[in-house]
Amino acid sequence: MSLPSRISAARVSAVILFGLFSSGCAPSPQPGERTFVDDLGYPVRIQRSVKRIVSLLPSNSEMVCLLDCERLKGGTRYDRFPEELTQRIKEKNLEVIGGGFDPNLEKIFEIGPDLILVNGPSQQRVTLPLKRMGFPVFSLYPQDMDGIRRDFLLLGEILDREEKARRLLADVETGLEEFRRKTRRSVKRRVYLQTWPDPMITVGKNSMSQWILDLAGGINIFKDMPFDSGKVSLEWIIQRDPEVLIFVDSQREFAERIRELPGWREINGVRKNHICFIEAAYLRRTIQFLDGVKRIHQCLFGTVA
Amino acid sequence: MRRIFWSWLILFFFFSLSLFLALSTGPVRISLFALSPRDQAILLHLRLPRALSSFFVGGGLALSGAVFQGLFRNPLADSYLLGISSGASLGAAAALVLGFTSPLAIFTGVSFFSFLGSLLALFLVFYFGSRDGYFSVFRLLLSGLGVGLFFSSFVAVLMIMAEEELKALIFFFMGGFSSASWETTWVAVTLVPVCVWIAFYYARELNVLLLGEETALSSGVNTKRVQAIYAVLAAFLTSISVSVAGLIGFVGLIVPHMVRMVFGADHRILLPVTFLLGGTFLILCDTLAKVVLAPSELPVGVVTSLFGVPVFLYLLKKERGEYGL
Repeated sequence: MSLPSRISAARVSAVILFGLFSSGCAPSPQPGERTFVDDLGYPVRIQRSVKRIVSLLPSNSEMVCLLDCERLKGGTRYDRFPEELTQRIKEKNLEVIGGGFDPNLEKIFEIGPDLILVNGPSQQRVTLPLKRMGFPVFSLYPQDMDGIRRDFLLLGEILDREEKARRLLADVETGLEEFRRKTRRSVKRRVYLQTWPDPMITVGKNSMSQWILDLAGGINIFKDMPFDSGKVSLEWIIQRDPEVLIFVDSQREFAERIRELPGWREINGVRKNHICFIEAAYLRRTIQFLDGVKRIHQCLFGTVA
Repeated sequence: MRRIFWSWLILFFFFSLSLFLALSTGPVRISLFALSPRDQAILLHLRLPRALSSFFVGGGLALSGAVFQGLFRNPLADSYLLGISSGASLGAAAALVLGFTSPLAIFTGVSFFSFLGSLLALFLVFYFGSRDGYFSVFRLLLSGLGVGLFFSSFVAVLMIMAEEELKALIFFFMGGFSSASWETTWVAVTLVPVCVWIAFYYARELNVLLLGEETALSSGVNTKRVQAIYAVLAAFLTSISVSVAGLIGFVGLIVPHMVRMVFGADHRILLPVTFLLGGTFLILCDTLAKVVLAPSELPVGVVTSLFGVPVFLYLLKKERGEYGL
């Protein structure tokens, strides 16, 4: 173990000990602090001027960055969006603290954040020590599009960027309106979206992908599947007979092969060779979903919206 | 003899019934007696290989479980006893996470590397489990434990590296036949019968072995050779089944016990009945896995325990001491 990390380990344990005895009697908000209720229902006291944010979830990093990327000081190794964020990681203006389930707590301690953004229940265990150390840990855990909008506005309020948050959301709404106006048509295309080839995994009822497919003018042939994603068999795909097949990421080889395979040939979309590919990033949970919608639309109808 | 004759008849009836169900059940309505070209494609290329895979994998797993239980004289032994599954898991995880593709067109990457991984585990287990060309079953057991744990830790490392692949890996751990095709099936259809035939051939020796090694030696059985043949055979059967269908629990543990409770411990009857029942059982479970959560599929390993355990517990309660419990 190198010297700096030994020192910070000692600091951490001291703070943990201190935390053990001092917590449990949280005083009411000090001047310069505000209390917000997070998505898990915990009231969290947060400084009025938040300057150093650590995010343990790519979608939260993205939201912070859209509002004010400079204040994001720590993100995960999975963070990719927006572009500005990747740039800041390259320029070492943003520290990678590990992943959402294996964050380096000492690194977070060293960054000394005044706000830590986490996922929902699944990250509670990792964040307990951070809470003990007195860091404000705030859960943003949107379940659907309304939740994403709500959380984005809430984050805007916390960062004092309410105006910007509202503007960005309004832009998205306008963009969506415009897209809808341009693409107003009664026809919808039946789509099969495959996220993994072996076993064949597709998206179901509550997924972001389902929502995006729907907006783009597609009908997910497995929208009756009651989970985010699940395993299906070729026979089901034949039975639902999609007009279009969309493969996520690098399944080109697989898609090439199916043209020759018995069974697949029975499918309308395969016979007409209506097959597209899309990067998983366009189907992510984000307020910037419009790019994905447009891409899928182009795949479905062959026209740019 | 009469009882055995009737039991066989009943078993064959159930086997045919399950095969019929497997071939006629599915999202597309098919009449087996009036087939359109599309129906033919579905029947020949999707349902038939799937049914055959589940039969041979189920039979193979059950048989290898029965052999391990006899060989180690341990009722808790099952087909995954010697850590073969962790070798297979490592192969599958490497193929998924590191993106290895199969050098042979007849295999998918996952089945090729899981087969390779299980053979590697098999080799290592027997290498460390032997001394001067001989091995005792207990040495083998410990060697299997060691190799299994070692491989599992590599699997854990790969799982941490995985992102999207994790879900596919989890499905591999729970087993299933949803993407069965002739490519994945031919291994099981050709190799399992060979192993099964060898297993039946030495069944009498395995019986004698169960009386204790000394008794076996004095009645002229080459105990070391019989033990070696059966251990390799059972482990190899497990390798085949894992590469075809991933990990399917329960079949190798419980089916042999069910058969013993009903038919007794004579391996000349136990082995063939276990094979047939294991295969039939897995065909039925896979058919259920297709329909329970339709259009999505349940992992067949979940179904095997969900529907098999109640039957097993019922037999356990009914058993009147002849089984020696």
